[in-house]
Amino acid sequence: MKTAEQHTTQYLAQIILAEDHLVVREGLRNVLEKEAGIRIVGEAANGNEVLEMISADNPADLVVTDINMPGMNGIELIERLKQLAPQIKLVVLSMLDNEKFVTQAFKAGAVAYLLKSVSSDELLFAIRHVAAGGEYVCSEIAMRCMKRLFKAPELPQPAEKAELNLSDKDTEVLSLIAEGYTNQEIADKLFTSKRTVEGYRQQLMNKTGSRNTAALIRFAAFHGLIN
Amino acid sequence: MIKVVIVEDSPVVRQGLIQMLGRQPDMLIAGEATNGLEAIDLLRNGTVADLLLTDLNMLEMNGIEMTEYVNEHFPGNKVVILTMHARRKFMEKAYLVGAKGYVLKDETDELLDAIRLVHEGETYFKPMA
Repeated sequence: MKTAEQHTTQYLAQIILAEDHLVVREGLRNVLEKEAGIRIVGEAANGNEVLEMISADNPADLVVTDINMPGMNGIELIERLKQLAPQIKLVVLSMLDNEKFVTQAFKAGAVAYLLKSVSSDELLFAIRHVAAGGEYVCSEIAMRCMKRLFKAPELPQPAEKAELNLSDKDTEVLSLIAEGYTNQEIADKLFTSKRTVEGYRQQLMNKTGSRNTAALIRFAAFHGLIN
Repeated sequence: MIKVVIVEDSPVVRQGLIQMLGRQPDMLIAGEATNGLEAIDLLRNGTVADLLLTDLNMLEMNGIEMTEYVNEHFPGNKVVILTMHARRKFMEKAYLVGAKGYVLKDETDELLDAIRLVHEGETYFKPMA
């Protein structure tokens, strides 16, 4: 009889598969079991079944979970496992490619998010990477995010802070604008007139090449002019 | 033996299907493809099959386009759609282009029955909302 510790040292990853589709589970098991150092130690059709396995001293150190499952879904499972067994690493494998779910999964405590369309090589790479302490988002989602960044409208450039020639007062007013204060409120805080603050605001927009307050704040955040 | 070509872009799902069908004593995996074009290439290059089990949503050539082509050029091959889309509109479209079955991915228990029925000359379409 081997102890859980012995198992851990022997295997790169001991995995529970949480997936309600039998075909996907079979495919996952087949892909993962061919890899040296990976052992499937449990299969579940929903989150509740995983929790039962964990409470029955299953030696798993990693769970690969779908999101949409009847009973307890993947996000809920991740949240529960982070409390019950925080040493277990959680990898999401889902067909949901909306970034909202990626964010939810990572916020809940997942260390990787993969789409079901990933190749076997990428799946295995992700498992090895996560087992070694890393985090991972599959290339399809990562590239989509990257392309969105490429498409983002370009910010006005002079980005060198010194080139902007902002005075301490400019920076102070800018911070207060970014915090949402009105001209009158800023004037009250700085013990000056509303008209003076309006002047600062216009001056800041001129210096940064911003067309309106929203663009000014965006510029300031992007260039680290405000916290 | 029912000779099946599996057409599915997800490697994980494809592997699962190969495992599941491969265990059946009356089924044989005749080939695997990641989209409709690859499946048609298999048939053109001499792969002998009775039935194509195909996903709907795939790049290059989707399951509907493939079904239409297979019906026209390889009428000896029957097509069963295996999809996650429980939509009557899709099922009707599949039927109209000549698919002989429409099975949902979360009802894989029924998949083997559907393959056998279709191979025997029946069709497999369940009422759908």
